[in-house]
Amino acid sequence: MTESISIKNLGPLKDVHIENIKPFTVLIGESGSGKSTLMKAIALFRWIYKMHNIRSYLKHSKISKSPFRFRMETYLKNCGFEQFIKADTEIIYTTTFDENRSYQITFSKYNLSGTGNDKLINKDDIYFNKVSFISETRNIIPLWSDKGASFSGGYLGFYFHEVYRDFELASETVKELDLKFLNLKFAVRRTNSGKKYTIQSSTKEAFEIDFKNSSSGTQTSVPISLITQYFSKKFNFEDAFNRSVLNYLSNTDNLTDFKAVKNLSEINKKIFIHIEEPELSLFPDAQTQLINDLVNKCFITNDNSIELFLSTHSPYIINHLNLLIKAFDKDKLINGAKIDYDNLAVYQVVNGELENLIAQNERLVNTNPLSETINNIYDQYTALN
Amino acid sequence: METLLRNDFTAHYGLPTSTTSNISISTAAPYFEIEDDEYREIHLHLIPGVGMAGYRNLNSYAATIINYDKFITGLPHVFQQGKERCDLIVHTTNQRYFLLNELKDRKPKDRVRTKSISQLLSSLTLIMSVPAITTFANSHVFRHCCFFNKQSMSPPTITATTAFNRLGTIITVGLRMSKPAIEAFGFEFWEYSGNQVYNL
Repeated sequence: MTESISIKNLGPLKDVHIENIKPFTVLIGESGSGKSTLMKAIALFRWIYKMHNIRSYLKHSKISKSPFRFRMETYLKNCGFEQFIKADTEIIYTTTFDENRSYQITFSKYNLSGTGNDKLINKDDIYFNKVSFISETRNIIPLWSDKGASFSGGYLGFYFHEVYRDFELASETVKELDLKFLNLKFAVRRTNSGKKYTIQSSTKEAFEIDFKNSSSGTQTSVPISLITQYFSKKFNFEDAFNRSVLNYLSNTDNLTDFKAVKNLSEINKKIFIHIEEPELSLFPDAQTQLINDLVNKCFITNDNSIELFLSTHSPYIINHLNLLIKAFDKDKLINGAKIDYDNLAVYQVVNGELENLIAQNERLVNTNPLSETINNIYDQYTALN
Repeated sequence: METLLRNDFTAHYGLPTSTTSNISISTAAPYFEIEDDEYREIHLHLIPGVGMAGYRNLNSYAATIINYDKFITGLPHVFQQGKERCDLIVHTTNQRYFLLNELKDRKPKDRVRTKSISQLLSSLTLIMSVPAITTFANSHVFRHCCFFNKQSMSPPTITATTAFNRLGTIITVGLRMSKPAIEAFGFEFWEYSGNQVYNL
């Protein structure tokens, strides 16, 4: 399955097209350039497509009543797109399979199309996907997990609760996690008052502190590493499938009608992880080590098929990708990581459009545009002489 | 090409024939660099490190460098108003290379690259609308739009800019980048920084 997306006139995004969303895609750009808008739009349409897959699966399995309705207004509100949507806003998400079979979900003129019963996905093309969005608000997780119980009913926005739910889910399964990029360990303990998260040293100088008291870089990077580890190794598709599909059927007394068109084991599966600003609060060296950790979990030691989508402000991260491409070409690992040039896309979001930073004649990312700031600093320095 | 600009380009856009002086220079030197100054004049240098765009010409092809910026600036004000233009058109008389060049301004500027690409694309769109120029350009084997970005220098005790610009020392030829709007004209977009040179 390949995916493409076209977006016109969505907030800061004027005209964006990605013909083939690569397994590892990175966006860089100034604040307010539209990186997050683009990533949220892609995550949203991947989620809608996932639900359309479930609907198609149920229809093919003799469940005649439509399982659910798509409530686009709510989704757009959750994404913070309310003020971005205009009459000329258009989003087209397309998946293409062998023999050019394709499925298109379109949002245009305030309407969603392509998810109806007349547009069901062929049973051979059905995927069961998981979509995760690790938002920048993840830095509130330590405090929320410590004090959240006393804020019952509190709401910190759709994306915070999405990432918090994935963090909770992951910490049910992953009890210990090496944070090699920080030389630390994360541990989950059961106490009388519930789960307790701690940070321990991984060196001889032993110490243990509460997660909420750890450094800001630790607090923002642990959710990334933990959730990725969970989806890479521990995510149970069967449980998720039962939650999404079978629970619905038992709730609606449709279980007896259900004649599974395919078993879960026969269905394609994919996990989409989207991460906002992985570099938050990290020193440049730790940023690159975190990328090694992510690449290792998503593409080297993973048991599940994962696609990774990042947005970043960090030129260090983009430059580091070149090292990982070179490592792949030399069949070496850099702290457990390497990246296949053919599976990587890097875009700079500028003036509402995308600049493809992948060089076409060399296997590397063109980082020259990201050197502009340091050049300007010293051009001005020189000019003062 | 100079004649095509002076006569065909101007006729196509209903302008008087251009009489702007000194808009081209020629060279067959094995290595040359081009510099444009604040008065829109271009200068040829035969030693490395002086100009903004470097050309290695080991086959000593006869190259003509046209000061496109100066040519456009010499046209009636009402025509050039609002039209972005690149700096140079470089072509070889053996019809192998036809190149549009944008040279980075030496003064610090934000979004220089984006603006340069826009200047190249606008120039390409303007000249390729002239049938005689389209025919001439398409008769060349290599048709490239090139953005040359002279590498900035740090103070001697600080090597930060050198470090950030290391890519320019690893790859000695330029980088070809995806730019569908330019490719639609049958041209490729190439980017050169630091010591990277164009090999004729």
